[in-house]
Amino acid sequence: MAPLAGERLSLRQILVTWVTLYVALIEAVDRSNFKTCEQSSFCKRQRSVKPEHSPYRALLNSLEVTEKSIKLQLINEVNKVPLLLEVYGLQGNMTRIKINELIPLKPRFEVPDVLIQDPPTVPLTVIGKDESSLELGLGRDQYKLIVTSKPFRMDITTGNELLLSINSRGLMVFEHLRKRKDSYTEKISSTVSSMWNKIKNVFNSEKKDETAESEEVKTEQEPGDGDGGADSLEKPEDTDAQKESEEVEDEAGMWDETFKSHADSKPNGPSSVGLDFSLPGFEHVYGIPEHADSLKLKTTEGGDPYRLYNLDVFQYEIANPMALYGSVPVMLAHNARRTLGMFWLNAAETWVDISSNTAGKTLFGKMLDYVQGANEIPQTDVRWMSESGIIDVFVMLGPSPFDVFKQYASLTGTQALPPLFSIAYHQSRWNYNDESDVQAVDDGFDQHDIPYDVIWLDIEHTDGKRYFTWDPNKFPSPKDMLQNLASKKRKMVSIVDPHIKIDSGYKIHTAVQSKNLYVKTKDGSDYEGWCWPGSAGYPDFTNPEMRSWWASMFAYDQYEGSMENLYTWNDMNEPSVFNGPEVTMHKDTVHMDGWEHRDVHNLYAFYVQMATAEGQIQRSGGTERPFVLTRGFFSGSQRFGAVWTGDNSAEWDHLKISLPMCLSMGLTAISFCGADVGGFFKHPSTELLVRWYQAGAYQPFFRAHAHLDTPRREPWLFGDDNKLLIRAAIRQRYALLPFWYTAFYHAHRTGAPVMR
Amino acid sequence: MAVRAAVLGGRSLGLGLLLLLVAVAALEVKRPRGVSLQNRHFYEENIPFTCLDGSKTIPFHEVNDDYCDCRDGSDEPGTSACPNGSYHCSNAGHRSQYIPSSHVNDGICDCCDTTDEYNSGATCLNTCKEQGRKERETLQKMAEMAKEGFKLKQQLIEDAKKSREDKQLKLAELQKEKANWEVQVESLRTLKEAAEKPEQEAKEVHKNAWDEVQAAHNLEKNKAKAAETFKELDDNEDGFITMNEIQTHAELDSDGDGVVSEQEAETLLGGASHVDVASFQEVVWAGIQDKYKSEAVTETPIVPVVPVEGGADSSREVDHEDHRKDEDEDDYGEGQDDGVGDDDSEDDGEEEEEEEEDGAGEDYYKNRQSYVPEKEGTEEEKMPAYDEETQMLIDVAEKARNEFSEAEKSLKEVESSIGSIEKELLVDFGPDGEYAYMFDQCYEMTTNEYVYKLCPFNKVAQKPKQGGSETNLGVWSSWAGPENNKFSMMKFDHGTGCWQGPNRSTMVKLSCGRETMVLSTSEPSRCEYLMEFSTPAFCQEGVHDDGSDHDEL
Repeated sequence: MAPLAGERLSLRQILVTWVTLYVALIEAVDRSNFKTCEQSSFCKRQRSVKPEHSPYRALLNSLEVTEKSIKLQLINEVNKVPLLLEVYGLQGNMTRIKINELIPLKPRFEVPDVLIQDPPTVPLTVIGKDESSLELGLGRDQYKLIVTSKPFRMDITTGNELLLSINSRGLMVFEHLRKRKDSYTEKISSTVSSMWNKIKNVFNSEKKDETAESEEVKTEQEPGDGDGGADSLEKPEDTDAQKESEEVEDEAGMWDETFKSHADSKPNGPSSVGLDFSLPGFEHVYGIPEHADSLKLKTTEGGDPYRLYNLDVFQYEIANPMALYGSVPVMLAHNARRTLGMFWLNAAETWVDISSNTAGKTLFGKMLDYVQGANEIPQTDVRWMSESGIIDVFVMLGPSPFDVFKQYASLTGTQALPPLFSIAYHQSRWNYNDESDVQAVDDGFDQHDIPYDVIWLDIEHTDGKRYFTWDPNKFPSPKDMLQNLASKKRKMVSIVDPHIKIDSGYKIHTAVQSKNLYVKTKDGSDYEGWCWPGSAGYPDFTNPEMRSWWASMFAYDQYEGSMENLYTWNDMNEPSVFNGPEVTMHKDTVHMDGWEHRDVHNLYAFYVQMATAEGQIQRSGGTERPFVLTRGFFSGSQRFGAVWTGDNSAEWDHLKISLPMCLSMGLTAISFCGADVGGFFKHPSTELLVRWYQAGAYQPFFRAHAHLDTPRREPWLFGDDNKLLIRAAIRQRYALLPFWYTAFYHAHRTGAPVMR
Repeated sequence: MAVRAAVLGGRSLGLGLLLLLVAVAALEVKRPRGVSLQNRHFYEENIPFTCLDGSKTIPFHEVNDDYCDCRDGSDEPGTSACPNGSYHCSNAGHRSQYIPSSHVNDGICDCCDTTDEYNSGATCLNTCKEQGRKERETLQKMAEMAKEGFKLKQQLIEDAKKSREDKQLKLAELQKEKANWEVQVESLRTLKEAAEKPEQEAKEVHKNAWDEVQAAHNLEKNKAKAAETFKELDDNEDGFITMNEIQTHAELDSDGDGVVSEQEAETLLGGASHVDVASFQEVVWAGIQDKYKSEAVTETPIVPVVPVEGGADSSREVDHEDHRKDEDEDDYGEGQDDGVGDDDSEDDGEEEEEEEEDGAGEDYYKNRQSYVPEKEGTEEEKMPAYDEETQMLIDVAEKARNEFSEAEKSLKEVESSIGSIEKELLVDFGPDGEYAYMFDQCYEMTTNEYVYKLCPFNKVAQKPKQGGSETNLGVWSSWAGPENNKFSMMKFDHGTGCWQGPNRSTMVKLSCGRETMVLSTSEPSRCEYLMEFSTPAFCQEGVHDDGSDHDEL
């Protein structure tokens, strides 16, 4: 499927504007359709904070130790907003660190449903405490967490080894919720701020010097005692007041933001969170799919950070950090001795900066030198920035890679064990035109003695892009068709997208509408976007009621023409909104309980696939494993089925990039990954097609797929020689199926990636 | 799993099943499972087996032991062990067949006699009798149809032959006619040219006379203008124009600096410091008349830059855009009548009546304009009518021209008839011309969305049912069947281009049928169409080779 059909049938009329809009973009992604960090106001604000003295201080006296966690208050010494830090020791060598506002103006979003359970805890023990630091024991293996009060930072160590530092570069930013300035306080604050501005200018240069000096003092201090010396850094009150006045001033983009022609009303104002992590001794970091980039993550200095924001990117480019269809905010750091993982549980737009330097230049470099000798040790620094929600990080301490896989799996679940047929070969095309086309392709495989298990139907099989229906002319008797396939024990997958055609004669639409389950605009009316069917509504899949109703639609008596051997493909679930900002939903739309789309964006696809998989389980009374392919995904999507790398192109580079893309997903538990064999856009050369089959046969999800406008590609259309090569590749896949099945079983049990 | 390549594990037949199988086998000629009768002799019991490709010899008990020994798969005719083997089912009561080894024991019934699933647990029913009966019925029907079709085809061949002969006769006739017309055209051309010469001369005389009158008139006018200008310029009315007086007219500046310098003024005055009326008219006026702006009312310069409107044939420079369509038609008529633009009328003659195409109209205009200067004049001053004698000459020439162009038109018609017959005679209508009857015919088929139109040897088109313009799905290219059956497929290509794709093309697959009709239309690949088309012309005598051995029916 593609974000663009081009001229065809009814689309011709419906999408005329889109065609003209997109014609210019045919050759490659139009980057200007997607934000850079600079264009995303929170990313710009966060990123403009440079490594320096952090304004946060941990109030060690507020320490509260419970069975499950320890709690501490943090205070931003500039604006005096108190935060609550919670640290959990988790079973299986993990630590969870949560930071939220102590008393937020209104609740901040915490991601539900992704964790498979409340992670079981182990009690933390306070090993040591003085006025400047706190030492916690993390259960076993001498793991310790040291909290330093001022400036606030945390360090995880084992024995003499420092594993990970948090806020060591002082890049933590927690934008507290606030009232809008143009309310009653405006006059006062503006007067005050202008006054302060004057004073500030007088004092500013002086202050800086002072700060620098004190930092020097600090760095001179004996490493290891952790604290930077609270006394020397204590600032006169007026510093804070000044800074506060600075902060009161709104930066552009805090209360509204526009991108291209799209306005984001941002009624809650700034709400972003950011935190930095330093990984001494680690040169290689991996993960944070989905990016069309190398397996080893690159440093992002001088360019944009890696972006995690599920987007339908038309003809994506390879080798860059732009966001794609799915997001898993999990990063692994690996060296010869150990592997660590970080799981940043936040579903809002997220950017990840990666830099690499030598440890010696920082305070902790000094400390390292002290404990490990004076060699300069490579270090990777990582900075996470999210637009809303809270800071909720799981540190997975390994120490082996397989331990980290297991740890992450214990949090978000493992790869669903696929039904055997689904790891065999899939034959797809946008579109198999009608029932006789399906029959002919099916016969073709037998005739050419090529094994295959599943044939796919893209959007054209529906009655006017109304999912759960069949085109009455092209697919008048779907059950007969499915029965024919079933007689050869074959399956079919039909596409069911989450955008619902607004049509009073379409029962899915009328039901969702009457149940009031569509996503709302900020003004409370049903949100309407433009997608394949034209004007469409977007069900609020974050609502369990919506999900359970959606699941019920897969019952055999609800989805007319469906049978046991019909499975499902969820496309366009980023969600794709052709006329929305960055081809997705407006961030100020409203979901269940008043949460903004901003908060839940990266969860939408996760929930769509969850509800669909649940529907398939229910229709069989819980006896059959489901199979659902999704394009968008998030942490935990592995529990619901397969993922493919979206609308790639028939180019050698795209074949090549499919490997690191799926490997990256595998590292973050999404094992059932594949790329469109042959490439979706464009027409592959015969050699490329053959090679792609040969590569695809060794990737977990093995499906050939092609764009509507491309010539047919069934394996026997390229001469006998090539047919035999393709057949040999597919047969190899089949010959190794028991091995694949076993690998998936291991993934299901342990979280170990299938592709590795 | 529909894994058709799946290999099921070892053979562990229950004893009962084994006995049963032996019993079944006993009814047939004894040979290893999956071997056809013809190949039986390669598999002699207890004699070492040599792979059919000769690559290897193995003990007989290794035949069908579910382990692939031969590269060609011939040692495992009855198992799925060899990836490239095949299994023979006898299918008593129906047609025997070979299936790929991968289909043996894969849980799916392939052979109607069920023998391919002897160890998979699949429950298969022997459907050979029923299938055989059905197939025989179908074949019989097809045979009947073929027979009938073949009869029709004979008639078609007959007709084609006759029509071809007719066409050839007609062609010969037309050739003769053409020769006649050619002679006639030539003689009429001579006549025309003879009549045109005196016409031309008379016209010339008439025009020259008129030109002289015009010239004299213009000269006078010009002089008057010059005198008037002199008065205007002669600010101090001393009867002389000085440099100062010239300099008051900035528009006469020649170096573009907006000021008439003394030097420039001197140049304008022909090197003198002042001129009187006479030398002004002779020397100065010619140099300034184009630029000079009257101090009184601005007048159009007397010598026009563009020819202005004259007689009936003048160009309609000003508003021809607005009126082009209706005027075009008028102009054509006139153009021919007065003999202007013979070339034009020849080129456009055939389309004359319907000609409204913009491009052609424009061309016509361009050509027309080149004739205009001859008739140059001003609005008030039309060239007087020709005298009687000249007019008579013109009328005579006109008549000759008309006769000539009539004859020429007829010649063209004959030539075009010849062309189309020759073209038709060149088309390949099949070995016996049996497809000739489709020439100039179109066959339509309506689907839910479109009406498809197949015009053999011409084009294929698609038209939306809801209205809208027709899309060309390809123009006739060639017969495109495989070498041994060239006339089984028609190819049409170079249709309307696809957005981001190739030009549309269509393959038409022929089948035997009583009626000539389009059976189906599909678009297997974007912009590549496939039609199924039945015609008696495709029917063969006594056709139905089912291509298999009937050794065990």
